[in-house]
Parts: sequence; C-alpha cells; structure tokens
Amino acid sequence: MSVTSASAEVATAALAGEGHDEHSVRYKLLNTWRGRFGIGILGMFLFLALFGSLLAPDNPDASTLDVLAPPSFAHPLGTTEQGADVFSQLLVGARVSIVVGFAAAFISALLGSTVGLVGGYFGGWTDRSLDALENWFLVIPTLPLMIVLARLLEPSLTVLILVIGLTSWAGTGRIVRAQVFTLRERAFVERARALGAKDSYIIRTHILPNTLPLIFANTVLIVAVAILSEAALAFLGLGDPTRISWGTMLENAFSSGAPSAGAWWYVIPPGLCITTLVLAVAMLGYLFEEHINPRLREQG
Amino acid sequence: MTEPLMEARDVAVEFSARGGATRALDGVSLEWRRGEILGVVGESGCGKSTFARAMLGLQPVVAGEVALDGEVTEGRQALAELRRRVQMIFQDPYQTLNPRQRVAAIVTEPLLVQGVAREQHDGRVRQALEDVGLDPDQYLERYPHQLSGGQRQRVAIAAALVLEPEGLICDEPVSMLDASVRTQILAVLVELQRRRDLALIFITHDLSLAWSLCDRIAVMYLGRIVEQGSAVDVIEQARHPYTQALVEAVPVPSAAGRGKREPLGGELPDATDVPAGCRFHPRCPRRFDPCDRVDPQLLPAGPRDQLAACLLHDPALGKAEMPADG
Amino acid sequence: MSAPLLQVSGLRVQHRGHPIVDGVDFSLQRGEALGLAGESGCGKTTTALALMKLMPPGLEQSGTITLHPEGEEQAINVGKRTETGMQRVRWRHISLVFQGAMNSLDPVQRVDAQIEEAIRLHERVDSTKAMRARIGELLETVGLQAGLGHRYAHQLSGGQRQRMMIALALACHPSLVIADEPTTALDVVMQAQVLELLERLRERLGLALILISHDLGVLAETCDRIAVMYAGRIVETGAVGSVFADPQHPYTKRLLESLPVIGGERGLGAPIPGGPPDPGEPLEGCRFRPRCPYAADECFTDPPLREVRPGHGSACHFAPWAQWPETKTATVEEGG
Repeated sequence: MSVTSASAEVATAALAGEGHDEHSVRYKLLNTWRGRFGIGILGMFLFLALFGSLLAPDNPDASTLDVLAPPSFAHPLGTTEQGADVFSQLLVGARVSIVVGFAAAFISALLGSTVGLVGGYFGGWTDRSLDALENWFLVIPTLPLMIVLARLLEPSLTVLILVIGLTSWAGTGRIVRAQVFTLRERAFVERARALGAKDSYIIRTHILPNTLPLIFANTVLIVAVAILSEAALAFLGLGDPTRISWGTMLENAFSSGAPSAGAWWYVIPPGLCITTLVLAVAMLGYLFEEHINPRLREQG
Repeated sequence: MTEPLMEARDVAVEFSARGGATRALDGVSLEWRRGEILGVVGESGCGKSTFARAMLGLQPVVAGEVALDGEVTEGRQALAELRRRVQMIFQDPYQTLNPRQRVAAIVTEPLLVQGVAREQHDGRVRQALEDVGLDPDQYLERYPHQLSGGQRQRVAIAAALVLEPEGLICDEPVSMLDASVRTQILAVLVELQRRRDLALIFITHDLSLAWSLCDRIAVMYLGRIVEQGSAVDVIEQARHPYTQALVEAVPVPSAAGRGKREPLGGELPDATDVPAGCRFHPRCPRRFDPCDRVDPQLLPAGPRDQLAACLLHDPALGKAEMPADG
Repeated sequence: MSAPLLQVSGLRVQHRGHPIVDGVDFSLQRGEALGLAGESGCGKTTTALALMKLMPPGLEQSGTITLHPEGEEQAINVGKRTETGMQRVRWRHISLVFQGAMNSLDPVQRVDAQIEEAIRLHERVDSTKAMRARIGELLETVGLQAGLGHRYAHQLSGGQRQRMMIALALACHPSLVIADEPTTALDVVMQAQVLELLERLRERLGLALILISHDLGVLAETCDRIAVMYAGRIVETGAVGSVFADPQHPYTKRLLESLPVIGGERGLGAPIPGGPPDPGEPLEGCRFRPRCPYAADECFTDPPLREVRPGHGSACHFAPWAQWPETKTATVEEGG
C-alpha cells in the first residue's frame, strides 16, 4: 500500500468514522478559523508551487542594472542585488519549499512508522535495538547534524530532502511505537491471532490502519518542520544553488547586505512567506492531532 | 465414552514477574467434551482466562500438554488445525472489533485467514450474521462505533462461527452488557450451540449464569481447579469449602433472597505468594490440622464424576465423610 | 412521624433539551436503604448526582429536592442552593461512594491525608492527635487496620480501596450516603463483604443509603425499598419483598424472569427483545411500549407512577396485574 493512497484512506476513514457534525474533521477544517486559515494558505501556496513559474511576471533569474530597486509599478516588490524581480522569485520559490517540505516529511513518516511498527509489534531485541537508534536520533541536535550531512554531500534538491527526512523520523517512530504497544494488546489483535493470522497480516489489517491517523497528523506537523529546515539550510548556503527558494532568497539578501541597505522588500516577503506557510501547516497538523488524540485515548 | 474434543493435561503457565516467575496455572487437567457447555468459574486472577488462552495455544505452556481429538497440539500444523476448529470470543465488545473495519470485513476475516475459497465468502458471511440475529443488508457496511454493545458482541459471535468450528471458548462474553441485552446474547449462543451441537467453554465469574447454562462446571482458585463436576452437583452439593463460599456469596434477586450470612474473609492472595499446603487454607472456615502442609489432589468427592481438591475428602486422612450441605 | 430525610419531586435533568432524567419523585426516611435499579443510560447515576447538585457541564437540573437532616432546624432546599451553599451540604449531609475506587482516590496522596482533607473542609479539628484518632476510628469502622491509612491507593487491594472509599464517605458523619455501583468491579466474595459492611454501618450509624446498581440481586439483599428506573423515569417502586415477589410493571417482571438465579430453575429465561430507547428520540406514551409484550392502544398515553398496592407504585396503565397473560417466546432477532 502506498502511503499516499493510505493517507487518502485515513481521511475517508476519519470522515466516515465520525458521524457527528461538530466533531468531524471536515467540519473542523471548513468551519473553524484555524481550519479555514490552514486550508486557505496551504491551498494558495500549493497552487503557487504548481503554477508559480507560469504566473511570474518576469524572469526570476534575470540580471538587470536596476539593482535593489524599491517597489515600483514594474516591480511590485522591488528587485534583488542582481536586478531580478523579487515578486517573481517569490512565486517561483514556493515550489522548492513545498516540494522539500512534503517529500522530506514523506520520507520521515515512512522511516518513522516502519521503525515504530516493527519495534512496537515484535518487541524484544528488535525493539530494543530500534529504540536505541531512535534515542540516538532524538538526542543528537538535528540542525548541526543536517549541516554536517549537507556539507558532506553535493548540495541538490534530493540531498536536501534526504538530509531533512533522515534526521526527523525519530519522533514519529516513538509515537507510533507507543500506539502499536497498546494496539498489540487489544482484543481484536488477539482474536486475529487466535484465528491463526500471520504477523504480516495482523500488521497490515489491524495495526497499520489504526496507526495511520496518528502518522498522518504527525506527518503534517513534520511538513512544517521540514519547510523551516529547508529555509535554514538554504540560508546557511547549503541549499540547492541552481534553484530559487525562499531560503536562498534570504541568503542572497543577507550576503548582499540588503538589510543594511534598507532593502526591506528583499527580506520581509520571503520571511513572511516562510512564516505563514509554516503556521498554516502547523495549524492543520494540530487540528488533526486534536481530532485524533481523544479517540486514541479512548481506544488505548 | 467418546474422545473429548479437547483436553488439558496437567497444564502449567508461568508469567515472568519481579523476582522470578508466577504460576498462573499450576497442574490444570480438564476434559472438554463434544457438544457440552463447560463452565470455568472463579474470581478474577484465578487463572480462568489464562486457561482459555492456553487451550488455544495463545499462551505458551511450561508444563503439561493440550490435546485436540487426543492429539497433542504442538507445531504449526496442529495449531493451525486447532484454530480452525476451535474459536474464541472475548469479554469486551468495545475492544474486540477493529474500529476501522466494517462488519463485512470483520466477519470475512476468518475465512480469509484460513484460506476459504473466495466465492463462498459472501454467502457464509451473510448466513453467519443471520444466525446471530443481524440483518446482513442492514449491518454489513457498518463500523463498530455504529453498533450497540450487544450488536458488537453479536458480530464477534458471527465472526467466530463463520468457520463453523466444533468448539467455542467464550471468555466472559456478557459481563460488560446490561441485563436485558445479556440475556439476548446468551440466547443467541445457546440457540447456536443446540443447533450446531457446538462444544462451549464458558469462562465466567457469575455463578448464576454458570448454573443456568452449563452442563459441567470447574471451579478455579489461584491457578488450580479445586472442584469440578456436573453443574447441579457443584452448585447444589458443593464439596469444596471455596465453592460453598462462592455459591453462598451470590446475591439472589428474589423476595426471599435476603438473609444474614457470614461472607468469606480475606482476599484472593497474589499469585506470587501462593500459600503452602492447600492454597485456600488461610481463608478456609473448615481447615484442620494438615491443611497448611499437605497440598490436596483432585479426588472423587461425590456419587457421580464430581472431583474436589480438599483434604476433607481425602480418604487417606480418614475425614472422608460428606460435609453437611448448605 | 417526622418529615422524611429526603423528598424529591419532579426531578428533571436535561442535556441539550433531551431529558436524561424525566420527572422523578421519591422520598427516603431516616435510616432507610433505597435501591435504584436500572440498566446503563436509564438515568440512575444522573439522579444521584442531581441530589448533590453535581451536574457535569451541559446538563441542567430542575425540580425540588428537600433534605431534612437530623439536628438541622431548617430543611435544606437543594434546588435553590448556590454552588457555595451546596459545598456545605456535600459530604456534611450527603456523601457519595463512587463507582471506580481506584480512580476516585488520588494516587499521589496517602489515603489518610485524603480523609483528613474531607474532614477539614467541613470542620475544625484542633489537634493533630484528635484528627489521627478520628481517622483511626473511621478506618476501624470499615474494618481496616489504622496502619493502612499511611498507604497510597495503589498499595491497597481492590477490597481495601472500596472500604477506604466508604470510610471517606463517612468522614463527616453524613445522614445520607449514596453508593453508585459500589461493588461492580469486585468479585462475588469481595462484593458480599462490602455489602455486609454497608448493612452493618447502616444499623450502627443510623445511615440512610441510596444504593445504585444494575444488579437486582445486590439490591434485593441490601435494601428496604427499590425503585426501578427505565429511560429516565421510575417505572416501579415499593418494598423489596413486594416488588420481587409480585412485580407490577412489565419491565421489572420480564427482567426478573430473564435473570438466571442460582439454585433456581436452570436454563435461560426469555430475553426482553430490543434495547432501551434513544434519549434523543422522543417517544410518545409509555417508554417501554416498543419492547412490551402487553402493549395496547392505551400505552400511547403517558402512564403516571401511581400506587397500585399499599406502598407499591407502578407506571403501567394495566397495573395492578392480577394475572399476567401468556406471551409468545421472544426471538433472538436484534431489535432497535
């Protein structure tokens, strides 16, 4: 089962699972300000990630003599130190943030849930060694580790995704493991065992579907973390040099002395975009988590 | 007499605990005959649920053996056979169904796991639901949270019976249900038992229930069977002081039920701390000299096949006179 | 005869306009034990909480509840009391033994400290010595050694915890103790011990007791009177002997018939079909009508609870039942 179809299933299961209007995810998404804000902002940026390069009024890589010009009719958000249009760069940059955010979170979810499922279900030495690995990743400061890894490898989009994904899975692993521990003891798992079902079957039909909502909510939160990490790495010059992202924009702005030159239009827009997107994703993540948690408590 | 469906022979189960192992079952031997309803009763912690799990091979046995049709159930193949022919239903209807599976998937699962041909699935699932009094058209597509406690337990029974087993182990199947629903579920079980000549094991703490449903009853105390025999003998002519105390303690919903009595003192000791000699002797109102030293064996204690593990009934001790009833 | 200890009339509890308790009247004499019977969701626990005005958020209660404790000049009108006013009534006059003893004791506080807290909320006890003596006496009353007070809840066995909960309820010498399923989590032997203790305390301290249970056997053995609740109403009430020997409401009758009785007739009684009505769905007339084998046209009007025999009330149009007609045996079909 691929994770995308799985998370679609979660959404449907969660929707089907809650008949009561006010408590359904759909209701919370569409009728609370957090849900509306999250969906609206994320939707807008997803649209930009897909079509931003078509909408950009100017060539974002252009070099003109009109360097660090303040906002004008031709350049609504001014220009860069290279004389490129900031607004166009902003539109194009959405793609990297979104792609890195989602892809890294996907890798992190895949790793974390596999480790959590296997460790939690089989227990024993398997669990102890996986747990040690998780502890190692949880204890080590993530950003320095990312910096070291990104330095060792040739900077590219794939490297960024892998580095962020590989360093952020441990928390998911821990949460999934705890959930699997309680599920393993539940009567329907015991019943399946009494039927003579194999472990792979039990994990597939009983353990995984009951962990998916949790993984899903957790992954949404990791998307936010991954977007921030990408910006941080890019700001430190460890991003993909061939692509424009909000992080690289900030890096360029700072290395060209834009802030001290008073070129606020070069600094504030990418910063604001990062903050808004992260905020929107985090809000959705908390909304899902809140929705799922009481239910998990009831089940556990 | 024909071979029993299943048999436990001197079975022991241990749990690891701080400072060593605890014996949850200690030398339990019991026959489960074809077509009979066998009650296993006792207080919580006496080992009755562990016994059920040991019978199905869900709990490793450290000594003794479990047999199906006289054959010891060891190895993959024997276990697979056991789990096809003997099914189990659990206590908590809210825990026993996967909240993310529809009724259709829950009842189909045993057929899937046991590799029954796909074209039979639909018919058998529908039949199983009808057998437990649920209209398939109305319930197949529902999720467990859309069902009441009684309906959930019906689904669990349907899932257990869809493989047409010969034996069904019920671990406190109605203890979480309300009185009126409880009787409905029991009626379903008894009806199916009669129609299919099922063998049932009924694990329960409710002696009234055991009395009204079971053919035979085994009473457990601290991992041992202390008395067994026909339901009528065990309840009406209990030989073991513990059984007598249990029967005495059951409140009776009748106008005449009220009366003064001395309940048994003390509490079930922890399984890590089994008393020497007879395990019941610290609480026993009829203990005598050797009870704190001699561990009683299950010996004949009645005119029929009643057995009791109590020194009062040990002929070697010369106290074999029948205790005064009531 | 003096005024009853407790008089409840027209008690209603609503949740978003849906009645959970729908017009309950009863009274309780000093020292009397009343059993409140019924299945889950029938409103018996809510009724008990309403007596102490302990409504969970979202629930609203109305109706009059008058308490006339020994030694108090004025009757206490529970309905009119403010929250602060009620705090003085709770535990001092009415106390509650909760269902789950493990969850109702604070796990991080020694049990004697919890009893001490309950006492200090209502009285001034000057010396530590007096307090200690009082707690020791309380524990002794419920059959526990004084030393057990120094333990934490998890260091006590199930039976000891339940006794501790009873000691806690008795801490301020209330005149009424409400026990909500006090023995449900216990095994038969423990249950018999706790019931025996409650009975002994009642005799010794002259306590009035409201015992809530789904187990009719428990009520038959402990109570003087019983009130059977169904879907938010009392459908039958009377002396235990009278109700159990000659039930006057089809629900009570069918329930008693379906219960297995040890030493009685073997085999399974005919179950009552279907399930209790959903409180969200208004039901015209008698609430038991859809499950009642004797239902007739009259049953579409609401039957009031009225006295059909001396001291024996039933909310059935056809009571008193001189003779119960034959009914067809129930099926295994799932109703509702």
